[in-house]
Amino acid sequence: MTSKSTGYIKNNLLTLSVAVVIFLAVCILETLFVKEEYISRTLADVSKDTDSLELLPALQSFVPQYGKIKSVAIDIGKKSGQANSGVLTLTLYNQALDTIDEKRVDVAQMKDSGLTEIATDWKVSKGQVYFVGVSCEGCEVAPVLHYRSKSHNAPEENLDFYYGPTVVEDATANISYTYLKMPGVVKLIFLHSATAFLMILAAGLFRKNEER
Amino acid sequence: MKNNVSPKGKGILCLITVSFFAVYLALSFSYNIWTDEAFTVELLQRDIPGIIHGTAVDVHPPLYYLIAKLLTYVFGSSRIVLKMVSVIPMIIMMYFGGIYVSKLMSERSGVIFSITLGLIPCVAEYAVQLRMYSWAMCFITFMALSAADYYINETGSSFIMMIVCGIGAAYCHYFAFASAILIYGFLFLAAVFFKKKILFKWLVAVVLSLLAYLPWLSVLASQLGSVSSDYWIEEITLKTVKGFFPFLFGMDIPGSTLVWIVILIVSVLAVVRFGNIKTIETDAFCILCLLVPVFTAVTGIVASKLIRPVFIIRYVVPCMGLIAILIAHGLDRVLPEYKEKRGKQACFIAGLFAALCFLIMIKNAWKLEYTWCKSYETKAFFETNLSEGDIIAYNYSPYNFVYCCYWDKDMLVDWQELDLEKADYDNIWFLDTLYWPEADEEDLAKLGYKSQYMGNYGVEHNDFKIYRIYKE
Repeated sequence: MTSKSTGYIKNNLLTLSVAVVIFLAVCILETLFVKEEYISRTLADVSKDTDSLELLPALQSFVPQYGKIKSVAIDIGKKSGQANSGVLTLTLYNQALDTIDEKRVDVAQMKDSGLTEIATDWKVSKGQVYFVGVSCEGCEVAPVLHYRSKSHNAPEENLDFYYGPTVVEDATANISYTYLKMPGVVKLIFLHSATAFLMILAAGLFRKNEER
Repeated sequence: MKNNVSPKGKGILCLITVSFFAVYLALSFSYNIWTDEAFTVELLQRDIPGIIHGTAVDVHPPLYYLIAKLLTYVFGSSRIVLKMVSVIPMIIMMYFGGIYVSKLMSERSGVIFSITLGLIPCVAEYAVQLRMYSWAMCFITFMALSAADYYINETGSSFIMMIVCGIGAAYCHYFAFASAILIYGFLFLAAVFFKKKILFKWLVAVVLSLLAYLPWLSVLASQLGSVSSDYWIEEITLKTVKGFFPFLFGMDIPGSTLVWIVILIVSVLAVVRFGNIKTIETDAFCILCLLVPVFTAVTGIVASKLIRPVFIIRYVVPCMGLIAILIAHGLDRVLPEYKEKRGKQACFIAGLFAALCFLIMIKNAWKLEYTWCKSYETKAFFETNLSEGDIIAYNYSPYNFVYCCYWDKDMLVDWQELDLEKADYDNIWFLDTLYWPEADEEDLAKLGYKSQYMGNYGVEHNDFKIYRIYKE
């Protein structure tokens, strides 16, 4: 290191230290809290219906690809075409069918055919088997759940699809999982360099106004 | 007053232009083609009167198609030539636009403009698309620069360029026309308040532009009529407006849209903070460069509410050159010079950020052109399986003209027009798009056919299953 650069560092030690601390703090926060979404979904195909979700629940077994599920979207059919009163319950079960979490949604707020996204914020373990259960109660006319042929359309994580205790042959729920995962290394490096660049710009805004 | 551009400055601009050209060239060998591009390909098969008639019954003006047609007369009509038609205005903007910005502002502004133009996330896709957006962007950028140049320096060449580019923009895309009107509007206000002596010349420019547009006015009126009764664009909601920003500035990285918006805000603040009496005209011009796309979008949203939805955010892409001008001037103000205190460090970090943006731009553009849909898998499938004596049948009839861009017209038949009793093909490869008429297995069996599912395939914006239908 030259004497010129060591002199520069000594004269600007405080400023540089503060800048480095701020930069590192932001980088750590970014690495911890910035997440990107990854969506895995059933492919488009002709849908079939289960029976009423008030009689028996439908269950989709799956092995999650990532550790955090931000939301799950499911596709129900409203039999009479009306808004339908009632409550739909989306339940996360472990492999032993113990309830881990439940989300309740007003059926009237859900789409009739087409995916309705339900915020879940579930923490799961990658590689373990879980079940997503869908059931209804208090419905005037209970909806059905749409499913599709498993062999051509199932997302990577889906295993068997059940209506009640029975496996439905060659079936996968029409479902999408939105995961939150850490961005890749390149994306993180981009964010850190963007942070440094924006800090430079902010510092530039506060410098003295000299004519150029 | 205009600056001179040094040989070093020209060399740097040349290097930037060549680098981006290399990227655009690499992206131009894509097999993918989507609906609007297929429309371009089909239209260019007609002669010039046919093209003018074809665009008159569509919803866009004809200039881009005419430019493309003229170039196909010289270079042929292969896909790579058509892609280069869209790349040409990008090269013009990066090099000559960079020179123009250098002369009006500073050499460093010119270099930053050239780099920023290529790095704005939405630009790379439209740089190689068989559509008019890159040409509209070129015309709007040079119109704005020459309008500012004319206001400041009152030169004849800038006056003529402003008129020519304004007419070019108007004949390229209707929302570029709206942007051109806004540029004339801002020039008018500047003349009224600060420089009345150019008002007469302004009026001459507007009248000449209107006269040049007269032949197309009746077509515009009839297209407005057809759009007001029925059009494909969905209603604009608050959610749609929120989606504008990720479309223009998103890099498929969480937080990237926000980074670009902050850069834009900092550029505006820098122009205002470091403005002085000597540079007030270029400073004001740069702020107006932001207002043009904003008001173009507002015009589109208002028109969508009053008539019917007629605006989508890609219609603001022609204004991205103006965004690049604002960012260039702002960053030139806020970044220290290389030789200043902390200049080397700042330049290093800025360079690192730009380099990462460049690499991510290439990755995203490559994915968009080559890997995001199943076109290449479909291509490989048919290269392996399609033989003489086979036919490709499709049920998605509206996509006929798109399929013609992928396969020979003689190999294609609409499923609903296929007479299976009389058909004598070795294999019928059926492209089954969801919700369109299927090939019923029972009906096939009655005629002695069997159906075999081959897999999920597709082309851009159209997923389908392929079935092999054959007689035992």
